[in-house]
Amino acid sequence: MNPELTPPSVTSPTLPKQSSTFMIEPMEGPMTLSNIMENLLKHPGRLLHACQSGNAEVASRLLIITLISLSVFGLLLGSFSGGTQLWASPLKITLGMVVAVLICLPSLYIFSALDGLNARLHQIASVLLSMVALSGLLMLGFAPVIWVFSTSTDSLAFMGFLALIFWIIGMYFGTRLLLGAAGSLGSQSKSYLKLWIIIFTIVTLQMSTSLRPLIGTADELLPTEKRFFVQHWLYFLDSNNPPR
Amino acid sequence: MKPQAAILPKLKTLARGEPSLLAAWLREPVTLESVTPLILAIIAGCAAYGFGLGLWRAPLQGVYVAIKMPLLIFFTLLVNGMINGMLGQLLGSGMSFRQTLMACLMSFAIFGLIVGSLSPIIIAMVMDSPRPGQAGASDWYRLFLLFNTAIIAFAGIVANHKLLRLIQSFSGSTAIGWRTLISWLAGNLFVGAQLSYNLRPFFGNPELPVQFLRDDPFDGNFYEAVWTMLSSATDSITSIILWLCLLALILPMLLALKRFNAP
Repeated sequence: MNPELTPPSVTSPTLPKQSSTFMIEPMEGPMTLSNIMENLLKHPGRLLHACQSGNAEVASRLLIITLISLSVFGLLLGSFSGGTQLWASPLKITLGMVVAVLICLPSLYIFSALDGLNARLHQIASVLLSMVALSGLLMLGFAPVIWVFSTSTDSLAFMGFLALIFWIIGMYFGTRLLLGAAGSLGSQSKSYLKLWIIIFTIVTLQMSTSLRPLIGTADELLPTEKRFFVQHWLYFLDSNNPPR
Repeated sequence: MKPQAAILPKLKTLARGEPSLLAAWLREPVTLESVTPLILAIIAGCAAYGFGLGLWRAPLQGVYVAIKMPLLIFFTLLVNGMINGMLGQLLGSGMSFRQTLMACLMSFAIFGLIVGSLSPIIIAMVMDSPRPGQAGASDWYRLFLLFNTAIIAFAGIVANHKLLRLIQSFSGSTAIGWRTLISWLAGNLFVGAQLSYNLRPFFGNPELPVQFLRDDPFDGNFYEAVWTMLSSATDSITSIILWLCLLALILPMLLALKRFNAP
């Protein structure tokens, strides 16, 4: 970790209301995983600067952070059912996210252009990677909470709801990064990007249904019946239905 | 300086809660001297108060709760440490993981000091109460529950107010202070409620045996129990009161978030 920041000493009783900015600036310190995680949380603009300067090391470490975070989250989610789910759940969550990112990258590129952003594909890819890495990192932070509940409850619906809430929180901060980065890169509006965020959210939710079960058990590793995620949730909430 | 001589001024600083002094404490490197007063305040304060809580049921229950109350706080910090650290950095508090943990420890230590200072009153109240099974015991038990809920709420509000001022001083922003506090508070309440469910009993229901943990500590969760209680409350007034309590808990957080989320 970097040396801790010395905070401003505040003596005045009146404090400013807001001090949040997204600055794309050169990164400080070594390219270690811990330093990159710290920058992802505190100064994501520095990582984007490094990625856009062609620093493949930062991009590869962001990818590693994403894969490890989602795998650990998946492992603890899988511990709810145990058995096959201990390896299947992390694998499905990680692969599902990789596939969602790959199929949504072209639309992000187009939608960012519609918002007036003059960026190259690798710039957009680095923003998307940072967004997913941040969401994944937050999921890693929530993993101990998931574990506490997975040892205490038998309710699939509750665990599913909890995982969904944590995913939404992770996505909120990830998309905040995306919109902040777009603003700093010169986008004129953000309406198309907000639309893309909705699309990406739907894709990830559908991915969780297409790769089910992520929680709970089933005879097959992957589902044989195709279903929309809303339909799947409604089916699941009906306690008379067997898990499928 | 003798260790106890170093601890007492720190505890006094903690109780005063002066943000600039607490911020300076946070900036110090982690040493035994800087952490010991916090851990001691949590263990001693919560153990003394916990003993008072369990004492009415039985002295042995008091000893059990004295052990479990500090454990509840440390487990909550352990489970939420990583996400609190991440949210603190993400929301611009300017605190590192270590400083986040220290700030939360400070807040819980203030809580421990307050409830610990009130524990003699609780113990005296229990000594002067009808024993379980005696006439008037059930009315007294309800009063005891209400009184302790008020004490815990008061200590929690004061501790979080001090924490808020500390984060605001550290980050230099009112809004960041509020946002960070609410995110930590929401997480700590969410996990703390579940862990307290796992570590039950605390008050000790007179109809159930004296136990360190119930036979099935990991069977069921707090929120399902609350939901079951809400949906099975046949008495409409009870149901309304429960829903209002739930709203009273969530609404202030949402309002504060809305107020301080504007750019």
